[in-house]
Amino acid sequence: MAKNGVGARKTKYDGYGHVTGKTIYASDVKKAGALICKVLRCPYDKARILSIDTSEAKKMPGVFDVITKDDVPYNRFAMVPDNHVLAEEITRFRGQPVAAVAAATKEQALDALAKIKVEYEELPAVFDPEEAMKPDAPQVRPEGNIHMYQVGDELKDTRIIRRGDIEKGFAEADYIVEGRYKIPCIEHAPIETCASLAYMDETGTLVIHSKTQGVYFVMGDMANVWQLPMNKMKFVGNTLGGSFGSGNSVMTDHIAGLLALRTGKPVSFQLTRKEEMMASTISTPWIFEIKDGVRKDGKITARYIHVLHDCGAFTELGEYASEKNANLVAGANYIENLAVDSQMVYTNKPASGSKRGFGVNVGQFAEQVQLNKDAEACGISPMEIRFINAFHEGDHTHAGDVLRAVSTVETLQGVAKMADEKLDDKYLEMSSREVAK
Amino acid sequence: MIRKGRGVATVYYPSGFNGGGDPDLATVRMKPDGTIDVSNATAEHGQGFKNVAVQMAAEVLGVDGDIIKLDNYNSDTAAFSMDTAGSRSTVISGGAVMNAAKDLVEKVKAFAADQLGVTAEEMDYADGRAFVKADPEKGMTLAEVSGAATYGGTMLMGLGGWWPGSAAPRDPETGAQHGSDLMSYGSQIVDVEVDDETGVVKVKDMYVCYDMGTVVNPMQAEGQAIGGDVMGIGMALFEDLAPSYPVSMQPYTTDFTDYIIPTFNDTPDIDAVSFYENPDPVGPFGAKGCGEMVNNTQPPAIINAIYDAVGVWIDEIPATPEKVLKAIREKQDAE
Amino acid sequence: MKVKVCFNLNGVPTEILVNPEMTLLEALRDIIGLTSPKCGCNHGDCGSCTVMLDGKAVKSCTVLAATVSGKCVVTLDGITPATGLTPIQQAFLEEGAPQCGYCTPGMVMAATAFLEKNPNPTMAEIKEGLSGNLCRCGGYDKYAKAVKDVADGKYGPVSERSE
Repeated sequence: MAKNGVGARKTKYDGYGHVTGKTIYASDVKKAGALICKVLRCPYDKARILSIDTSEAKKMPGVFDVITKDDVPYNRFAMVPDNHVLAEEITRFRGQPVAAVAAATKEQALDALAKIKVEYEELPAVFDPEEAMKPDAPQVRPEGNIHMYQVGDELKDTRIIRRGDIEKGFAEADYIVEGRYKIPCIEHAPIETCASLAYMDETGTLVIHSKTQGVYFVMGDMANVWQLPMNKMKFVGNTLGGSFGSGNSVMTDHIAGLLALRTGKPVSFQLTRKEEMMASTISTPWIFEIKDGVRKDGKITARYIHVLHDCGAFTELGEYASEKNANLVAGANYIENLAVDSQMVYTNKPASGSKRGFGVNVGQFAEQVQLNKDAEACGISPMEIRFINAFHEGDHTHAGDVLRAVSTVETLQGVAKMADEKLDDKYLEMSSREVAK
Repeated sequence: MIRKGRGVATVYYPSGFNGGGDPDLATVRMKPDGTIDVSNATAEHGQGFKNVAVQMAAEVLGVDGDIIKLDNYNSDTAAFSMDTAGSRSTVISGGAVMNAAKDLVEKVKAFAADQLGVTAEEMDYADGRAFVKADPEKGMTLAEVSGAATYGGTMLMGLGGWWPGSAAPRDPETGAQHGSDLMSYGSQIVDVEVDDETGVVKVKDMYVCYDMGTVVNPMQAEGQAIGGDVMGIGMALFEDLAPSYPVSMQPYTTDFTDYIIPTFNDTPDIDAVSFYENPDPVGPFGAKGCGEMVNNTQPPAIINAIYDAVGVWIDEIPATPEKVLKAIREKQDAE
Repeated sequence: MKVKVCFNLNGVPTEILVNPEMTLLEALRDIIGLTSPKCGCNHGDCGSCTVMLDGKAVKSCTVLAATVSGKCVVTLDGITPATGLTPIQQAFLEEGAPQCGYCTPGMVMAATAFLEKNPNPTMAEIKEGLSGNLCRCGGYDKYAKAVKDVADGKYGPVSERSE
């Protein structure tokens, strides 16, 4: 018989290390003689870099290297590789890395940063995604502010989901309910900030102790940046001090690795809390507009959703979030007539990273508040409207997958019992397993 | 005065990357004494994958999880993992480990059969031991197999992978896509207290019922659930990096003094978690993902509870005291 | 100009040279190499760097290293038994309080100091007492219940802290 197998309340595999402080995180790894990396960040929301002069910084005591974009073998990276390792001519958000220093001590690195001369021309920036959609808005990127989706052989500015006949659905409704919902900029805020320790090992391999969520996820990307084959680099990951999606975006590996390659010395690069907050990827804003057609009995006959995702300055994981959101934004409800128009726009703020639940929890926030407004319009309870519209076994998701092992009804029944919320018998007897409509 | 309200939310959440196509690979092998080494590079950021890998391998091999070690350390030694993301570790990384353990069982059976002079088809396996079906006394433990294999120069390694399929391009007319069909479900009820003179919202009690399929480790799953509740309280009530957005990105919060995440004092008095285990027919051991689903219900349930308490909709989170109070005043002015 | 600091660290007389502006946290992690105190904010906000200074729990990022001369500093390494765990460590482990574990060393130190001051707390007192320690995984409920269980004696008597 298996012991401590599936279903067991087994204590955490590395829990002994957690409660004794023996667990080693990327930021705990020390290497004798490691240089400290510090990064110069753009102080403007948007600017043109007219010139960078690193000559004085390079002469500062303890400084081993000062790099700008020209020193990066391949300056583009990320899941959609449009992000810049170090800023190119036009910077796009406050806090964007412009230059990096490797020095013997933190103090020497900071002193050297202060000696880098950058001449900026501040440019008009745009923060409001709805403003950024306008034709005369400041341009965040040369390709235009509006993201283009691949639709068949064409590029289009809207990702659409269509099911049923939305006009027919609205015509069948007794009430039309409309809502508009907004999500702000949210930070992952793991307690360990992003960190890398990079060094060359005895085989000439670049080793990176990284706070990444995927040692293989970033390898191909970094192979590009450093122009190295994958077996000339070794990513060491294992355990992270929280991450919540932030570790899917590279914040320190690229720069630390490059400085280790260039100096031949170990390089330690850890973001300060301030850098983690202002310059790492974030959960960028969303705006949802929902229009529901609801029958007197609480049945949603039609739902139209317009989504605008504010992607920030670079694509990062924004396109992925937008695509996933489009599939799931209508929630765990059976809706026969549905239309989703989803758009994404670039603005001058940190890029859209993946944050726990990303693309989905924001949409389900909007959709679940909207559902309560629907319930109020037809005079039924918030519990009832959820039972009435719940997904059942064999229903199709809004993107067209057939659902199995569905538990909308059962989790509602379960939580009602826990919270002592009274339910009508018809809802107590309901099951997700009944045949699809 | 303090006004009480109750809110509800129901959500679902897919396991794995949107559109699929995100594989994982794993190996399972033995030290000479029959203890087990599992390899898969999934990063552990608190979600509990290490336990999932070890407990699933223990289940397949019929041994004590305590004799199993996991190597997820680095890209030189650990088998490929796509990423820790998209609530995929339990299903996809776990599925790869399960398959690798099953493969090892077959290899152990074949090796033992050879040692015992029978065919692999005549062998069975249970509780860490391969034995002859017709004569169960005749068999070899994992320690015996591993000792004989290792010192006999034979490498026994279970290999496993998991591939959730890859989506074709979306239908250009309808947007239809194979997104994900492996779904977890959850419903939550939240009780709040709203001070209608200060706008301060206090989450009093939270109740949540999740279907994450077969729960691989209930203690860890509870941890995820209460942790998701705490993070959800932050999202609903506090967290905003740029409070002047969209007009300006300044002021921008840059430390925990200004960017408020929940503390011990923001946790509910009751945070009750229950599981409705509806096993997925595809997921390993019927498991579904849970890491992100647990961070969905709280913001809408809390906003719905605020409406129930004071009759105002806060459609732009977070529901800070300023926003709640302003909405209450506007409602009073309108009446 | 570096400053010489002589202090007692986990029972061992210790001598280090530090820059005057260096914090105790930086000295412990970067000079001595003890990484059980974690750095989450370097700002006194998160508590993951909590250590004992002359028997009192302090956030080591808010203490200048140069000021600990002649004092006793105890990190989590100093209270962890050679074999086994303290009741608080045991309770945190068995009740599944740590998730990523990064806040846990600070949480153990803060909880240990808290129970010495208040051996019979209510849940509200525990939450208030530990509210200077942030856990982004949100394991507060399990941490608080574990501390209560320790106070209630479920993990045996709370032993004397080693100095």
